[in-house]
Amino acid sequence: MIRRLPGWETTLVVLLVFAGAVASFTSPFYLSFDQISYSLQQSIAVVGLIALGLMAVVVIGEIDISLPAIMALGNILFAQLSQAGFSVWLAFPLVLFVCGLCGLLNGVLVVLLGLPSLAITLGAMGVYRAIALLLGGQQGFADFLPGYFWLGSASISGIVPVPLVVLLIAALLFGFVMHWTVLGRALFACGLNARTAFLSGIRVYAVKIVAFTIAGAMSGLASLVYIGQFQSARADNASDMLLFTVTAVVLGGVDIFGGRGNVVGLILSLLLLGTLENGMGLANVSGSVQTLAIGTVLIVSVLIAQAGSWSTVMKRLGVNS
Amino acid sequence: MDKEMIRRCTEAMNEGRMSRRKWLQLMLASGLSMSTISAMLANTGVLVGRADAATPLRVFNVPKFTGFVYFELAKAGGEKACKELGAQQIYIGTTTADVEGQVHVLQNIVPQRPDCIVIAALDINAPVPTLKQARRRGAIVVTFDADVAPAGRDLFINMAPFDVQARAMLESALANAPDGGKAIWIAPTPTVANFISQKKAIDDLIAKDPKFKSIQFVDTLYANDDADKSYSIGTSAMQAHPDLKLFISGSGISTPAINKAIQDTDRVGKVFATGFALPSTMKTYLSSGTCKQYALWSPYKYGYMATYFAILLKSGKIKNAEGVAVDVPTIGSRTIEEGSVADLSSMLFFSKGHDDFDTATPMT
Repeated sequence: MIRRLPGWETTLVVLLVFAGAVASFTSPFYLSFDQISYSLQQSIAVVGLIALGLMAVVVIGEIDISLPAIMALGNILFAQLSQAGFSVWLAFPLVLFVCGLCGLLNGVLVVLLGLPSLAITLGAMGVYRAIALLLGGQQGFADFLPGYFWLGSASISGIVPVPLVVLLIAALLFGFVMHWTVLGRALFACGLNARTAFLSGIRVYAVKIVAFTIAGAMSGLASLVYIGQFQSARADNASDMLLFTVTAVVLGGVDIFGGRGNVVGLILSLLLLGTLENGMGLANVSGSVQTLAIGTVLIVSVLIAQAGSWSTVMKRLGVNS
Repeated sequence: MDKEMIRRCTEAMNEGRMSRRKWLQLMLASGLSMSTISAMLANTGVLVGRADAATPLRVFNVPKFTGFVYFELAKAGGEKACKELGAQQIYIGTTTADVEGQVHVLQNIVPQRPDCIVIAALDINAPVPTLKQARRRGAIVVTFDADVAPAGRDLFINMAPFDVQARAMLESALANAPDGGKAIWIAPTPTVANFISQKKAIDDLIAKDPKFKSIQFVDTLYANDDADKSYSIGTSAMQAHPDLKLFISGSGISTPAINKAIQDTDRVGKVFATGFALPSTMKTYLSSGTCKQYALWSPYKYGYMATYFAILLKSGKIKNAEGVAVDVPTIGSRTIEEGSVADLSSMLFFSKGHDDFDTATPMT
């Protein structure tokens, strides 16, 4: 049986501290609480919320690549609702519901058709993006009612950015559900072996649909944070967000084939990616090198996290220990 | 559930839990390393590296994306302005046209206390919160090529008023087909504001100026700024309109692609594709005679002028007010207009023998 790396989270923490140290050396502007918290909330809050949802789907052994498109649809809905005079208190549950419904639809299609979720959500991605374009056109919306920006732009007593708090609360809730409840157990069971899970009395189809629905709803939540951060909405928002999201999930040690992973690892990997981006940005590293670095991190993490153990990695690299 | 299943599930779930001791160790280790690093940095004085009066003004030039010749030329122009005025240019952007990516680039610029930000924005709204923050900290923000909402910038350098752009394209059209004829307008999509305004200015100019009366538009097609799509649209349009004379496009990607379609279908001399394009993409068509003339503003001068204005504004040498005229070297006197906009208006014509930015003929 494949054993997981001893302490993948420990590795991530070490890498995180290392990245922070390098960033401190390469830029005199890095090491300040304001700078770090501000930069992190901007680079990981939205992606983090989507990644949490994606994790639920990946754990059951599926994938949903339409989540950024669902979020863009959420953005347009918020824009339309705001223009129609809805307060954010009304708009938020509405958008959460619609985005959850999009996720649910993905789940139902995956279960009913029995096709690979990659194919189905690829199609769904196009559909949701097209709906967003139909509703919002190509122009951007920037006139929102007061209140819509709070979740994504406020900070608690001017120090702690609200988006980070939202991410933290969501992560804690997710951690609880994934690791301490029957639903969490069922999710992991479906990912490990759907047939065994079914024979053990788990309603696999229902569990899968729930996972997709959660992911959709999380995209709705991410949408409100996005609107606060960018103070605008456009139908083609987040069209390049997928790489970063999938990287975060895989680097976090979530098995892309399902059944394994934890929220702590995911949060650590988000922090690591955010720190990398921040450090390279402050050092004015060119865009192509930054993309290269993130891509390399993804490949290396897939290699290591999915290989099982250090000795497997060494064997694959041809090193005899 | 069978026992094996329960065991594996429990194992999977337990991965999320860390023993309290392990957690404590982790926290201690990371806290310790962080404080050591900060102490080291404080000692070496790295943290004190703030910009003082002696350092030159730092201008951050943010393109829509890097690696595209248009923005590389604007970068070179900006570099020249910085050299002349004693400033330092830092060129930084994403590799793809990625709105969130561009905003992250800006977010990483803000803590560096920039003096000026010169940016070609990918979205009119999304960069505004971050640009506002930069301005609150004293940075001058000048947009070029694509503007942001006025709250996010001090000044927008417009390539040229739309009537000037329209004249440049129509004169190029007549240089190709002196007797005019049936023409098709190629835009990326029906909704891009720039192209709607360009086409409207072209229609106005044809209605107003008898010189251009011979050009009749029979259709508008959309090629999504994509070379393959432009090529196929061009090819089928030539089949659908056998007496077609001209393609006119404000897209620097569509114009050369349709020239290729004309060449490939042996219609050289019968149909012409002109409008705006980049010299590097058009050289072969000029030398083969497929296209006789097209137009563009100079991206080099564009970057130069935007950076020039940014530095002058930051150093307080000019005031950002309507009617303020600035003599920009090699470009001429340019006035800040209503809404804090100044026009570059340096249109260039490209033709055989005048096929790069150095040899192109300025429009009079």
